[in-house]
Amino acid sequence: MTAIPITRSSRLTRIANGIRRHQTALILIAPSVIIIFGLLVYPLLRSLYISFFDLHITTPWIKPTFLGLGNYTSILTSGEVREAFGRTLYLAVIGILIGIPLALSFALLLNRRFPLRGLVRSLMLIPWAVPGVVNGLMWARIYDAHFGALNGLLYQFGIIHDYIPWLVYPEIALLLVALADLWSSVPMMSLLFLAGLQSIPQELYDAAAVDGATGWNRFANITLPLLSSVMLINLVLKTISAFGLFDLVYLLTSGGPANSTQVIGYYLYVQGFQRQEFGYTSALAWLIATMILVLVVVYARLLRGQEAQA
Amino acid sequence: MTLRLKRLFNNAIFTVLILAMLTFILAPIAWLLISSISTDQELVEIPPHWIPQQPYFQDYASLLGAPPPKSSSLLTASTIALFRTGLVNSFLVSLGVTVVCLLFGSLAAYAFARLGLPGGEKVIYVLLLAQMLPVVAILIPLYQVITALGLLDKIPVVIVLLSMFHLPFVIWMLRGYFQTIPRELEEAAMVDGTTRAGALFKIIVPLSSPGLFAAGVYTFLQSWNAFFIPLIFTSSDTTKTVSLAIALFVGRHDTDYTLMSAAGVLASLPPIFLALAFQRYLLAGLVSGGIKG
Repeated sequence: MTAIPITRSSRLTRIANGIRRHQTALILIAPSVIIIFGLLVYPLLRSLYISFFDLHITTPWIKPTFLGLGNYTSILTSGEVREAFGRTLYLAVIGILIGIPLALSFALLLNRRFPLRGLVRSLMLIPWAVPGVVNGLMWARIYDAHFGALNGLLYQFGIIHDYIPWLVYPEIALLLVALADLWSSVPMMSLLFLAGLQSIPQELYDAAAVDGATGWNRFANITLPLLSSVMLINLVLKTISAFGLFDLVYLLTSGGPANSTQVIGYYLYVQGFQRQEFGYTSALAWLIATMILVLVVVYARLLRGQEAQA
Repeated sequence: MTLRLKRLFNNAIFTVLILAMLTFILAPIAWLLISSISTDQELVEIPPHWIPQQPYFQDYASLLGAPPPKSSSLLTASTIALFRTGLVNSFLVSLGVTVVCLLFGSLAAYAFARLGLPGGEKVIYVLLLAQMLPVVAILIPLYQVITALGLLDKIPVVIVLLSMFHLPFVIWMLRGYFQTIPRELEEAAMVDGTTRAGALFKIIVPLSSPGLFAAGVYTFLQSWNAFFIPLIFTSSDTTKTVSLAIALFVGRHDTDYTLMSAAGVLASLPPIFLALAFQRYLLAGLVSGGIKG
């Protein structure tokens, strides 16, 4: 037996010592590690691996074909993907341009004292707690062509004279889905903003008032900059949720009419689990993941830049 | 005088804005409630009856166990059966996920918070990773493996899969709670002869019950509302959760609309109740994690 090189043996002893020292701790985390690694990390690496193959799921007698970057190039040149991507961006932009100002205004309202404030704040939790499927069912009832509340309201105000089958028109279907999505996401965003508002020390506003700052000045120079971390969280969550939107599309439109609501979240489901294009879908999922990561970094940079300016 | 007028004016505007906000939150739910207690005949009236003239509660009664009216079709009967099985399955799934996450999560959180195991901060990265990646990327390989093992369409499998998504958050949240409990309490107990495990279950767990509650309520609620994973990993009527049962009937044109609205209201009650009852714990946890699920 030749001696093991000294550096290697000392490293081994160090690991062994570490294991002995943390024995109890390792036993305690074992179940969680098995679940998280077995069901999250391993599948992730596996999906990266199969993203380079065509698995021929529907024709199992053909062996998987190695495609290299084939799946990736066909995704990048696919019109279907480009359109789904555009619709998802549309969702994200509506969520951000309408949802974030709306959520911030709700939070500013809730931050003032008024009777029954506690009750109103509790009610804000309801849209978040309602199951996604029930949210879909609810908006299906509102947009319904024969007895929807939207038709009923517009009819009673004399704006329309015949009921309209709203979800039949490709031009507006995606907008209607986006509005339904706002209902479920804006209240939680506003509660996060409210928590941010309540952490701003009152002295800052008092000092600004002494200096003669107007309401708008105080909002732009104190409130907004100090909310930037909550703003980042909301931006990130809204963007991620736009790419993950599935329940509402499944229930309201199933991606139609004429694919006009086929967003990325739904397209991944169709490709992955209806058409069983496992390799292609894995590649698309990885591309989306990379892109979300880039977006998150960009948001963080932008907001940090603003914070430094303020 | 003008100052008073101005204040009055401001208050009026503020009240209008609050009412507008409440309308935004409550009006959609109100319509679901209205359609759940209308009769099918009344629902199709134009203009709509905003307050049903003959409120009809039979749908709720039949969903909850009363025998359905004799006139009801076969379809209605099967909807009701599917809904009831769904409620039971959703309850089993949510309870299972909550138990798995709290049990394994608190053990892991304790190891990170107390036993000097390095890497506790890294849990947050796993958490962010799980939140950020399209869930499809993880599910495709799992789907292949689970199909190969012949484990599709089994409730325990759904429980384990959902646990994986919530476990990192539970570990992260509980670790934070455990760290706020003074070490001295545990050390004193251990001097008195209590074992480590005894210290965990007699000192740490009772003292961090708000954290356990928050994590448990969050996990239960998210599992109850889960749709995508049950949709892909179950197929038969006996394993469908309540969300799947509702989704199955929404797209159909021959559906009993008022019955499905009532089913939607009933399926929302458990998560809404949990969110309202534990809002203080829940909000503290959600805000600190910045996680929305």
